[in-house]
Amino acid sequence: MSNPLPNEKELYAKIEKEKLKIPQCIWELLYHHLGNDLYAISLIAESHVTGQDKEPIPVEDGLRIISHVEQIKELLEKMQKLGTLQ
Amino acid sequence: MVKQKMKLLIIDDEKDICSFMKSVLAKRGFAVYTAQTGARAIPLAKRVKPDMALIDIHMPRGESGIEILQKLLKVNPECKCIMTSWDKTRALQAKKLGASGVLIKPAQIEDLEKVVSKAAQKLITTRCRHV
Repeated sequence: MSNPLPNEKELYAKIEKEKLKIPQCIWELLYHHLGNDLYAISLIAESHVTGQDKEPIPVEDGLRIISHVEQIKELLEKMQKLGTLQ
Repeated sequence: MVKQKMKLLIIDDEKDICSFMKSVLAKRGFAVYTAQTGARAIPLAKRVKPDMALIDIHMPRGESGIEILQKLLKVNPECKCIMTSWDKTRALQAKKLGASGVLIKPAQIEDLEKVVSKAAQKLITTRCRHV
């Protein structure tokens, strides 16, 4: 789990106070790409480590997880290039 | 008497989501089919007549999840359709169009099992009433 930023409370307060909104087109991309990659990672990991048949994650599925992480990284880099993330 | 497995169709453009949901639900005794587009899902639904379907709302290629839901209910009105999405508002809107349930992503496997069991239970109750 990531540690909270030292100014995280202030950031949330700023978003709330200034009513900052993420444009719909950015949401669409985030929902679709980030959402699917995170869900896939969670399903891959959970299907091995929870339930009755707990087992270590096989290398093949570990590689799948890495590939989804790479796709998230690519999305963030594209957003950064477009200037949507500063 | 041969006990038939319930048939479940997963429609999601993400291959890994289809394949891991399939593996989880097949272990729970369902006969699982997958499709990554509406163009593949509808002919498959006509052929296998699924009892239930898990439909991703955000489908980038071809029809949206909502359009697939409407087509699927036309060809198979008894099918219990569960809409999956990160967007709770859109998922809930789909309920007004005939979806039986919603699964908000990223859901844990436990949530997936719960929503599918609930739909299966509804189906059994409906079928018992008609016997």
